[in-house]
Amino acid sequence: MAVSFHDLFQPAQVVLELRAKTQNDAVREIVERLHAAKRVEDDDAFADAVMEREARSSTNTGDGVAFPHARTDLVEELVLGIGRSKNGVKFGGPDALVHLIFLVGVPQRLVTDYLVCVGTIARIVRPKAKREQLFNAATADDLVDILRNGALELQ
Amino acid sequence: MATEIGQTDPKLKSLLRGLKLRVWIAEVVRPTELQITLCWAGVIGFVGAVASFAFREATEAVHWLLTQRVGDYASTFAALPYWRRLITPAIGGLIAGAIIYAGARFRRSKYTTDYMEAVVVGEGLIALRSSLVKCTSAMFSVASGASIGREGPLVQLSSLCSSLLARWQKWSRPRRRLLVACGAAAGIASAYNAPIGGALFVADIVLGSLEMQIFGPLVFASVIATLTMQRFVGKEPLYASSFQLRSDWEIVPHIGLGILIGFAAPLFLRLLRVSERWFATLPLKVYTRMMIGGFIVGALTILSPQVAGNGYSAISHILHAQWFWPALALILICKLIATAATFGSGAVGGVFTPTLLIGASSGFLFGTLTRYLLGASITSDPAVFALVGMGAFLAATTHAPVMALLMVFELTLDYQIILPLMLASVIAYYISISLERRSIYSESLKRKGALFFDERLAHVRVADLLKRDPLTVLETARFREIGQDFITNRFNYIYVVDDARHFKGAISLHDIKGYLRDPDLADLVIARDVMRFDFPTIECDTSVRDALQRFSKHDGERLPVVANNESAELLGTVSKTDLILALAHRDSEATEEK
Repeated sequence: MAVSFHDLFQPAQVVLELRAKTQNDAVREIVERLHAAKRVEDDDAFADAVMEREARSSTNTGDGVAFPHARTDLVEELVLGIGRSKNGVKFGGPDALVHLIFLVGVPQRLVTDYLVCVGTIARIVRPKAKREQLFNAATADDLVDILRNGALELQ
Repeated sequence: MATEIGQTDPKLKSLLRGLKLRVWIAEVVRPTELQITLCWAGVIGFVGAVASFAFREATEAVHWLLTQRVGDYASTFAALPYWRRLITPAIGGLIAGAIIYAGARFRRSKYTTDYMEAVVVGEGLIALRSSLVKCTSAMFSVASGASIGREGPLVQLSSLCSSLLARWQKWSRPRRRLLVACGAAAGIASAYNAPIGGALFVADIVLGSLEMQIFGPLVFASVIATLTMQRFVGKEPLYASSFQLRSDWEIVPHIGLGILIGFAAPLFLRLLRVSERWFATLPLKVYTRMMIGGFIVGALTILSPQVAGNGYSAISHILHAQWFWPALALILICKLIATAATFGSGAVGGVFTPTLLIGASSGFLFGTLTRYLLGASITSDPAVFALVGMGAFLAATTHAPVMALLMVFELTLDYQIILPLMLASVIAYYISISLERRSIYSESLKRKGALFFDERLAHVRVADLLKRDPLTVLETARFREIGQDFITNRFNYIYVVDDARHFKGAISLHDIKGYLRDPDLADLVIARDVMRFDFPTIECDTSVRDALQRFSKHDGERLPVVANNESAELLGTVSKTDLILALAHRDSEATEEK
């Protein structure tokens, strides 16, 4: 598989404590971080694309995790931004607050990578214990290590 | 934090199981449309053979009703008193004509009854009721001893079955035409126990093409038809024989036979046409005409009972018995007149077996003469000449030498005769075609078909091959819906459209594989997340050839057809197989017109 999870999870692309209280703000906050990490050129357009997709159908799983994303050529390769909110963010669809946000950008030419990426993360965070570890991680590096190890365990 | 993610619900589980199976079928079995067409060709072969057998049995029953005798027609007629020989074909002709007369009101159907027309120039559809009228009429003609072949109605019935199947399955036009052709091949194969001949007859005469896309299904249909028929009637070739050539020099008189037949065949074709015209000038209803035709045949059977029927038993006699040549000459002349009378009067049926008998008796007479001139040490049995004559005459009247020599080979399964047979067939063909451009079969086609050629088929566009109402989902469709669609349909792609039915992209079953391990994704993902944005499309006014090009970079069987590039409204789909078939048909027509 072309997706390397070690490279995908980057501490520089993690917002450990989101300031945002709303879905829109949360998405923009994570996208700004991706922009700062030089993964996205046009952050406004990218955030709009993510929100447009979110408006069609919410990606809130109902388990405190959401996977907002966009398939757009505003990104050149698969990118992942992570946001954590201890207080929770109201995120579309189900009432449950979201504590972990995995924001994915996929270029249009990549078809299966989105599935592989989201599918893998969804399986990493499926055990409640894993989600609690992520919730309690002290630094972005710790959080990324948990995810990287989780990806390795799945293989 | 929320609780443990809930157990996957059972509905979703069974959906995922179904999808896994679907992916397995798509990847391991990978049935292409051509393979599916092959399977249908096999079904048509079976159905065609069963229909043929039913027709044979029905004909035998009618023959018993008319003569109270069972057996080959030459001996049943020989056993009848003279007056009954005279009236039996006349009664048959009267009934057969009356059936045609009564069935004339079905004529207005928009479909043809001629399978060749349906395949070559038409829609690939055959009219049901008028075909049945034709077959029933033919049944009475054949059963009453008219000089006509069974293969006509057999082929008719068998192609009718495939046309009905095509209508029921809503196949596209090129595929309908191909499968009706398969029905015809099945009919011939089961009539003569000749699978190679059946496939080649249709490929050579009807389609004029040996492209594998077309020939493959024809082979399938005729093999299955032959196997089925052999279950009913046994495996013996119709005219089993085994002869030895005496010397290599014998090839010389066979060349002479080829030349002679090359000159004779056009005369036979003209005789049929003259007779047809003469009967047409009679101010009589069709049943009276056919009764007169029957009387003529009946009168001839008084002279020679061998004239009765298609000539099958007469050919067997020629090949296996010693004949005194004047008796055979009498049969030849009577058979010529009987065949001309039967055809001219408008009886429905095949010319194939009567043609064989005329070729066989001419060959036998020629062989007798050669033997008399050159002596028995050089020349073999005149029956060898009869076989070669059969092939040569067939080649010269049908203008299809390859089919003719293979057919004779299959009818006799005698490999020894293949060398003189090949030479004589080809020679007779060349001479005949230089004298007479129309073959025995091209007649009706040229008459009806000429009008259609240019406008309808020369410019087949993708729009003509369109299959409407493809399976689509909206961009926001969820995984459950998409997965269900993949399970209930055998497509490997589902098209994604917006609210205005504009084409947006396509979802590939192969891409969906990613879902199968992750039930969690089922509620997260919508069509747009996994569709291919750069999926190739074809505009509806594209030419067939250009459209086929589009498939070169795509591994699927179908591509979406859109109105035009700007609005991209999804009109339907077109399949690669249909495009190839359309091109193959068209190429064969182009060569025919030259």
